[in-house]
Amino acid sequence: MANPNIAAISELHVGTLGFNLKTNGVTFVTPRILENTTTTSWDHPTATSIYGYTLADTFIMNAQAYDSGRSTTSMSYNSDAMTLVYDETEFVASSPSGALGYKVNPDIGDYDMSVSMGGSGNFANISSFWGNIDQTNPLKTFDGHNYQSTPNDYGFGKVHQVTGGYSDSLRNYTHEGSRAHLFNMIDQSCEPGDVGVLSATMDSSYSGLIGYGNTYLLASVGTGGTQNTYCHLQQFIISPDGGKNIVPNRFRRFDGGYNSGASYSGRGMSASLIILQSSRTEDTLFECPAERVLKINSIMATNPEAAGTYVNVSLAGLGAVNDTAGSAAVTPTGNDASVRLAQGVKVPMGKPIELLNRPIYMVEGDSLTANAKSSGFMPQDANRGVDIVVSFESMED
Amino acid sequence: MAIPNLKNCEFSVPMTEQHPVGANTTQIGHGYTAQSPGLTDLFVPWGHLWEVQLLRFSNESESTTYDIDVILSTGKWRSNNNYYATHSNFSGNHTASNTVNTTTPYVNMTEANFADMGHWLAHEKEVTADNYVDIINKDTPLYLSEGNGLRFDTTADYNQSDGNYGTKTLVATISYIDHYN
Repeated sequence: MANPNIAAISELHVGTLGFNLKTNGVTFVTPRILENTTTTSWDHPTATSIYGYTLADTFIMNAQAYDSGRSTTSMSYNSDAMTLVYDETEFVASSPSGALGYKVNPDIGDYDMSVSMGGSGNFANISSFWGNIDQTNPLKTFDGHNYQSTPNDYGFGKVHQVTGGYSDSLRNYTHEGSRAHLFNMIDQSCEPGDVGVLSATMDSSYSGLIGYGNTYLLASVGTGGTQNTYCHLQQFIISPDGGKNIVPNRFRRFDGGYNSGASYSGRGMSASLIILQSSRTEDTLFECPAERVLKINSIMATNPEAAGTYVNVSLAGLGAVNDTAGSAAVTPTGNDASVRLAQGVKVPMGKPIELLNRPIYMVEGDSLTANAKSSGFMPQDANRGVDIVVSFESMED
Repeated sequence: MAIPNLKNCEFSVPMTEQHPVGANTTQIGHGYTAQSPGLTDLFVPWGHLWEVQLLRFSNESESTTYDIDVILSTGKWRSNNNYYATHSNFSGNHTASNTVNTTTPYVNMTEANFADMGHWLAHEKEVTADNYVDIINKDTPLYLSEGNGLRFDTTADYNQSDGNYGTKTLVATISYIDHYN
């Protein structure tokens, strides 16, 4: 294929194209809770019609809390097996234990979540249905695991019981008192549109987490009565600061400190963090046709709808740069076909922003792609519009 | 990670938290094991710098005066046996004895085991019933860098004695700017 010789241009065209992107950040749709139970199946209906649009890239998740008497054999939604992120064997200590499982693209309808359990005793569940989750890599991988907890003898990844006492030489007690010491969970970067989910198993009679800035209670299970000890389960959504950084440190427990009251000390807690990744797919805005060169003079983004909106703009199909005879004008070495032109750029309301400082050229086969994300994770934050305006010149021999 | 440079911090996030204060005297300056950090109520995570602009203790009791102790921990925990190391027992622990901490108004660092350093920021400051005391205000901000911690201590635990919010004592309100990259 040949690219035109700009010095011998015979035709020059100019144009402007506009695109309206819709935000598709991680969207939290519905939770279901089942507290202090031995019931292994519960109703969790799912639907993709929401606020007048169709939810894509669906995802269902289930978190469990129980003590050492229980174990999780498997989880399923509408009889389709789910993937376990971790189960009770991942817990360093035995008392506050649990499991977490998920499935991408679950069946949609009035179906049941089911769990298969070993042992005896009650357990608690929080199931949640989501949209706009990346179907290939729904969970971010960090430190070799797709979840994080406080580090311990086993290194990162193991869900770590934190408690007060000296009973297990393999435990490291990094948690105590009123602060939920997740401080050893290192901040995690993410892309706008992603969220963190913290799951905490605690003693049902004496515990509870309060979250501070950018943390939102997804659901909480655990009321009085004859609960099993470790049936207190809370999940929080952690919205990234600036759309980019998840800080897992902003929690504390309800209690007043170590040895508070009669029973607090020695009450353990386990916490894990996962990051749900929003769809990484980008829409193709246009591709440079054969025998043409495009000079992109401007890419503007305008936000007519909602605060907290971000855009990603990428170039794709980069590679051969040829002369007019079709021979390589530049032989690329180690280049990438797809790169980000603008990464997680916040588009404020009220004025357009320019994504290009200087013009760039696109040769045949190169394409411009983009998507939009919202920092909000509720359904009303999805499907918000962002306008992209591209002004260019087209040249051919 | 490194302490952020305020000139190029990407994030400066204002935060406010409240913590009920416990009676922690026996634990001041201690970690649970040789591999754990000293116990804290607040801990600044790696890569963060907190600019504390308000540290207020409110006495929710209508009849009793309580004293507040604030211990600022500026040391890291034991570097020669940090928590990635394996261990087969608890030798080398911070002491489990209360005696070094309960009778003197300082944290005893003379023992080798006390690698975690802490000193009083406020000691036995009285907070009268239905009143409050500001330890830090915005005219005298307190900077806490990564690994620093604050420990609060009073003479009776907040609301834990009957599990029913029966004993209201001191509550700490901390307002700070969380700077990080």
